Amino acid sequence: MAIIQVEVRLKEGILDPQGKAIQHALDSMGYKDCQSVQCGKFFELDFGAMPSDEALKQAEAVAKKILANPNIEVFFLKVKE
Amino acid sequence: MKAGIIVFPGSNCDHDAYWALRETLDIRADFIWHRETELKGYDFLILPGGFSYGDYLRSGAIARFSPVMQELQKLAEKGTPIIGICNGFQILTESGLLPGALTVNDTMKFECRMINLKLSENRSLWTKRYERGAILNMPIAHGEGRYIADSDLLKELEDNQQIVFQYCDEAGNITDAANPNGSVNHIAGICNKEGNVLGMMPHPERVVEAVLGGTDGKAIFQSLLEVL
Repeated sequence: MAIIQVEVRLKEGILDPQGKAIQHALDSMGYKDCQSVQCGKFFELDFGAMPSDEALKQAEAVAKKILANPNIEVFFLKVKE
Repeated sequence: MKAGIIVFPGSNCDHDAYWALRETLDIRADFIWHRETELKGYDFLILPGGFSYGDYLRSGAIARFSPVMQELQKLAEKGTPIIGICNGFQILTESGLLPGALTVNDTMKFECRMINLKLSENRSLWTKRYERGAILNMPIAHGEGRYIADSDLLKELEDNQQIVFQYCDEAGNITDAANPNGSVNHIAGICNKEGNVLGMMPHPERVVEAVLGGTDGKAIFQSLLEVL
């Protein structure tokens, strides 16, 4: 059974207003040591009985085509333990 | 002349576009459901504003895989005039018909108000009725309108005169204060290299009659009467 986890986040240097808003909230909650927050997206793709190397390949294609926008985002893949 | 207005689940400016064409310009228009696989007999196409697929994932990211988009891509390559307004612009960048990307406003707010924009370049088929440098007053209504391009792409857009609209103040000065969403280089709209595909965040279809609050958007659609 292969479940692939995909993490998508903004490329470095691209302003993340959502992360910034969360960081401001943390600051007012008293978490003064937290200097920045990066907000991203997380997906789990369930490929059923497919072998994990093949599932990884398909997940990579899916991430490139739709889950991430390569102009502004990067993605990371992992087989779920 | 006949126009096609593509309707996705969640489009909500489709009827505004229809009204602008039929009632103020007497141009025939059809609504085209996004599942269509044929686009025949249309002189130009509109991707209207709204929240296709609820803006899930990223604005425009799911709509670009609708069946109608394959056909639209072919027509774009053939030179058919296509305009994407607001969510339509987001769909055009997601599909690669226009370069760059649109993402969350730097203001962290949904910006819904009148703004001024400058017609910085006049190469597009869609802006022939305006004078280059014209200052136009139009509404915006978006949460994800921050245009992003890296320095190489920006240079390319500038060199090819693809930066059609930039946010400006009433006097036409392009300033940070007049930029509602943090778009790079204050970009409000761009066209493709050929000039037939235009994407813009402001809503020209909402300013086509004085009773609606302005007429600055009307010439977008009138421009096509000159070229078609």
